[in-house]
Amino acid sequence: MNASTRTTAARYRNITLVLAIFGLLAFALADIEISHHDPYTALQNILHGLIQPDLSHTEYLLSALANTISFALVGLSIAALMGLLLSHYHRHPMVAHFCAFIRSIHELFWALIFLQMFGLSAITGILAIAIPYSGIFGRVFNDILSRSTMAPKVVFAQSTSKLSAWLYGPLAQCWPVLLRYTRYRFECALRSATVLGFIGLPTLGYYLETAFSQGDYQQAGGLLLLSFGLIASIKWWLKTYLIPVYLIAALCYLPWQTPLQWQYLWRFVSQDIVPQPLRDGDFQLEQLSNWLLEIVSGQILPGIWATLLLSVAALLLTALLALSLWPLASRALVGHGQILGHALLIVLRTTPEFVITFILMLLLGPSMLPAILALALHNGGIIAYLLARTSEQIKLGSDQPSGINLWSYQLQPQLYPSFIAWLFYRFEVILRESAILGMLGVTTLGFYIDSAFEALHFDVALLLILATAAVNMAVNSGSLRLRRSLNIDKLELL
Amino acid sequence: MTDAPLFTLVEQSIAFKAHQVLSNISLEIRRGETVAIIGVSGCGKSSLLKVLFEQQRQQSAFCPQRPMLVDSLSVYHNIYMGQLQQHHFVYNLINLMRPFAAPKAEIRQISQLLGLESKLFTSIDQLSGGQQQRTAIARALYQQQAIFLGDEPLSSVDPVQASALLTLIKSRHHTVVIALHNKQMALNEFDRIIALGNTGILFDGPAAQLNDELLEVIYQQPDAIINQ
Repeated sequence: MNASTRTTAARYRNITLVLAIFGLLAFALADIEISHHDPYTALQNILHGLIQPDLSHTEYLLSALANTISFALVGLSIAALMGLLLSHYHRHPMVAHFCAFIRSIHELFWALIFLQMFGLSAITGILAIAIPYSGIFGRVFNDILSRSTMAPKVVFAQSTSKLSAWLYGPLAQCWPVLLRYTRYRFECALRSATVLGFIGLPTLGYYLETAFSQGDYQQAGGLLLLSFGLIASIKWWLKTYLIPVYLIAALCYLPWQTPLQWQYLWRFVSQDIVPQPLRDGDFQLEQLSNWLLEIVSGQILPGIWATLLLSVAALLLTALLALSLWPLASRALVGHGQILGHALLIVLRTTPEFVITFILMLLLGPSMLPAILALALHNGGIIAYLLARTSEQIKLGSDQPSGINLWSYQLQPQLYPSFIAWLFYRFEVILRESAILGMLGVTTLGFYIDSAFEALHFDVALLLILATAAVNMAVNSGSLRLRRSLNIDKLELL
Repeated sequence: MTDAPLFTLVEQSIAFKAHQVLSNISLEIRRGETVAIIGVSGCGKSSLLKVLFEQQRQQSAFCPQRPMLVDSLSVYHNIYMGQLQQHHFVYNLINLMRPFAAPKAEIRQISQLLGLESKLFTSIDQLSGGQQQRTAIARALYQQQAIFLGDEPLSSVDPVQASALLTLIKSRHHTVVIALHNKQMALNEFDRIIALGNTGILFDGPAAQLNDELLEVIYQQPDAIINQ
């Protein structure tokens, strides 16, 4: 009898096998039909729009651009400050759970809530970005700062105030890393701000949706290219010393005009979100439990099922894409061709999944397929980029094999733990995003939430949002536990 | 005034690393002494220094083995950290962005003494190991404490410079306790030497009494206890 294999590689192989089985099952169960009668003509129209974009409507283009940047900048600045504060207390379980909760609700869901309270005002957009990003920053800043090697107690005088010691110690030491991470998040915030346009805020997404639904593909193409260019050019226009100037300009520019209607706000909090059976006064437990049961069986469970199916299918495709794309950007494997590979990965990375899903739905018709493709392209691109970058750090001797042997015996095995770690981390992101894609018509949780808002059933909407948050938090803690057990929970940050 | 010892250890055991322990350490250090702690690496010099530091935190400046500087900040800011407690947080915050004139003048003076003047507004990551170590010493000097505790603070500077720096340190502190590798320097520049072995003190006495034979024992047979 053979001795059984007890290598770490075998463990990773088993994890991969489980992933593949679940992924294939998800593909088998998911609705991935192409229902559009003529996808080729639609594709032609869109490509034509991209090749001959129409950017002549300068007056609204500029204001859409300014609004997108302003929402992202103001929202993210507030989030960064809140994140610093939250990171300081993150070791308290209450604060850690609070951060996990606020970031488990997607910015679009926050926006839908604030829309009912503040209308289409600047506050809605700013809070929708600031709140979830505060939760993200709270955890990540804490991760970064807790790895600081400064020991202020040793090198500073004893009576140094805690705040000063923190400022000149861990904060000063980690400042470059914090800045780099915040910059990356600004890229995400620009995507979020764009997408907020789909629910009516005057950002690029608003005009993008309008142009597409009116069939004006040249205008749509122009807007799409503009949003790519905006994100791809960040490093040239976002200089650290210019941020205060931008911030003041953004605060002046944002549409504050919409007056606050206190009576709406009050009505929303005191009546609209109270579960319907509790509103009338004569409370009956049976009514409440029927109401709850109906929502759980009719919306929450089917919504969760669809969300999970979509996420797992997208995860498998993400994994395949990441594994096949990263060698294209690796110098050791393709030489100078890596520049092209990198360019491809940057395009994929800057793709806003929501917008791409929207476009693919126009092409392929409403099914899970557009969502799966969009999620996999974006997340696969990010993981491939990270793998390529990590592969540069692997030291290779002069007697190394080359080509396929180098890939299969040296690089891929050494990168596999990072690959699995990023994959599980991205699964959390994919899940959060899958719920949101429901707003475009896939029957994930977002679909039910959007419908509830449209029917003005705010009590139902809020319950569904809380259910979504609960699913996200459960999956996040499961994923973290799995990464810890594999000893791959310390991620290098993007 | 009766001169009570600044540091006192009575049959104390100090645990360090995973399993190693310095057991039954007894010593006193008085005001005015200059003490060198020597011994093979890993014998517990750093741990002993930390215990001493805890006893006199209020009036000691500590210069750690890894310099613990903030790489991205300038030499000026790293030295300034020695006197953070003198100022309000807001003052410190503004100083981080625009250095104030008063501390700038003081720190420029100290940097001259340490040969760092031309690097005052260069960030730490662009300095050599020796320059980094001198910045850490400058930060400790800027604290203006009575006692200086150093964990190999001179290991990356050349011998001539090391001797000058040590003179500078001694001139600004009435009591100096330093762990160091360089035994010649320990013999030449310190009044008293404490030699650590694997489990405890091998030798504690005036530098003059430590001859080559004893030194050989200290560095080669760390387990033999020599009773002074």
